[in-house]
Amino acid sequence: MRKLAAILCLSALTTGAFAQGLVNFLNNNSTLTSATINNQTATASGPVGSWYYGLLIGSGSNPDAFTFAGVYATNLATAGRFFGGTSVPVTAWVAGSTTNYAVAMWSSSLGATFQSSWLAGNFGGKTGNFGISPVATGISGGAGSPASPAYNLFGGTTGIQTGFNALAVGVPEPSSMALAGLGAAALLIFRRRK
Amino acid sequence: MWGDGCPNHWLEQILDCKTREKNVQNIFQKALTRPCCFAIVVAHTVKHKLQNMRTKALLSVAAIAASAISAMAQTSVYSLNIVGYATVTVPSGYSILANPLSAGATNGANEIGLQIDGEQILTWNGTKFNFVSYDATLGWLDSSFAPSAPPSLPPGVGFFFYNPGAGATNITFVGQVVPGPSSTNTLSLASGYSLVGSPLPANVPDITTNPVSLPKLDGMQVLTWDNATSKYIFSAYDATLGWLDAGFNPKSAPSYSIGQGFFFYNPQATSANWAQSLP
Repeated sequence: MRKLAAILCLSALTTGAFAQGLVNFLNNNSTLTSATINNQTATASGPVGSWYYGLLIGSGSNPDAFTFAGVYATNLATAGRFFGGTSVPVTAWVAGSTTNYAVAMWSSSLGATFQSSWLAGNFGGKTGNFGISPVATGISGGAGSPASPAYNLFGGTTGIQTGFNALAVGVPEPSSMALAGLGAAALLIFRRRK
Repeated sequence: MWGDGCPNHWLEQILDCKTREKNVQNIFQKALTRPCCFAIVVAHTVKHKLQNMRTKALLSVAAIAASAISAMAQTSVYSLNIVGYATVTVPSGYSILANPLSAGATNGANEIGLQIDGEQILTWNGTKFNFVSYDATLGWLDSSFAPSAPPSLPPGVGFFFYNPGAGATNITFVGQVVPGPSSTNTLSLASGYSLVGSPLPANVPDITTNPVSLPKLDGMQVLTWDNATSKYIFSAYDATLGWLDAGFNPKSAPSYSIGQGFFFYNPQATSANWAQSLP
């Protein structure tokens, strides 16, 4: 009995050490990523580091209200593929707990570091591509001793099933271009009158 | 007794004749048809009875033989099943095992011989482990120390096994090979993670090759357990990139050995079939 109690205490301690949830941050052929640039949809490609991916977690169904989990990934040389590591610890996602999540994707022209302002549509005057995957629900791995296997963010019945688009961002819209043109014309008229 | 009341020379003749091996019947007929002989004669019918009995006996033997042959034929069908044993060395601490042979009514841990004082058995329910331990005094207990039934561990089901000893121990599984010859078994692999083992006991350098024949799915993962480091060994299969390790670097396909269990990740939204057959 004492032996079993010791085993269970040890298990509890080990479980405590695995409080951070574990995820596998990678995609496969059926969860390809694509980018929409000038209305042309293409698979995200380019040298490693051309694209970045970040894990967003939260509650509800609006990913704009999620928070960045601090987990990054970069694209692979193979078009449409990315890899951010296996058994990656996620501090804010307790091992064995359920949460909603989504994956943000952006081009390197926006910078390597995720900015929460991007979720509000503010890209700081930079141009590039940005998109968020559909929202999924999952249970992180790492619970128990031995630890349950890391949760796969993509695939299966609960993971993200499809690719997502990274739309062009930071590009002035036609309406704003027209307003800018009007402003320039007004300035010219003002100078001529002067 | 036949021959009572007959002259001695008749009896001598009869006995003399009886010692002859040929024409016995004719001699008896001649002797028995003598008019002055009073005797209880049964000899001339004895032979017929013997003949009838012999015929009946032969028919009976033939019938029994026929039924025996039939029974043997039926028995031979059942004898096609392969029964054997497999000894698996289990190091101290945690290992992922899978019962390689079917034994007992439910293949419970008690029926397949997994009863070591202080052991733990963790089975996977799809999202988390179910914990059961064995205590030599208290029997099977769940995670709350409440009495529990021994877990059912039929071939195909993988499980974590905690060996509480300081050193390795041998576990001998005894039972029937599943599937039997000329038959195919299909194991359903649910979407997501499953803790499984090969129902068919075999050692192969590539887990996807015959007779283990784990299906190849794009995006699937095989997680084996490294007892020395207490970590999973990650192997992923990608239709474009081939087998990859935890760092997404190319690697060879994982091997499989008898009694080994592993986590299988099915990336599809629906279950996949794992078929195994013996010729």
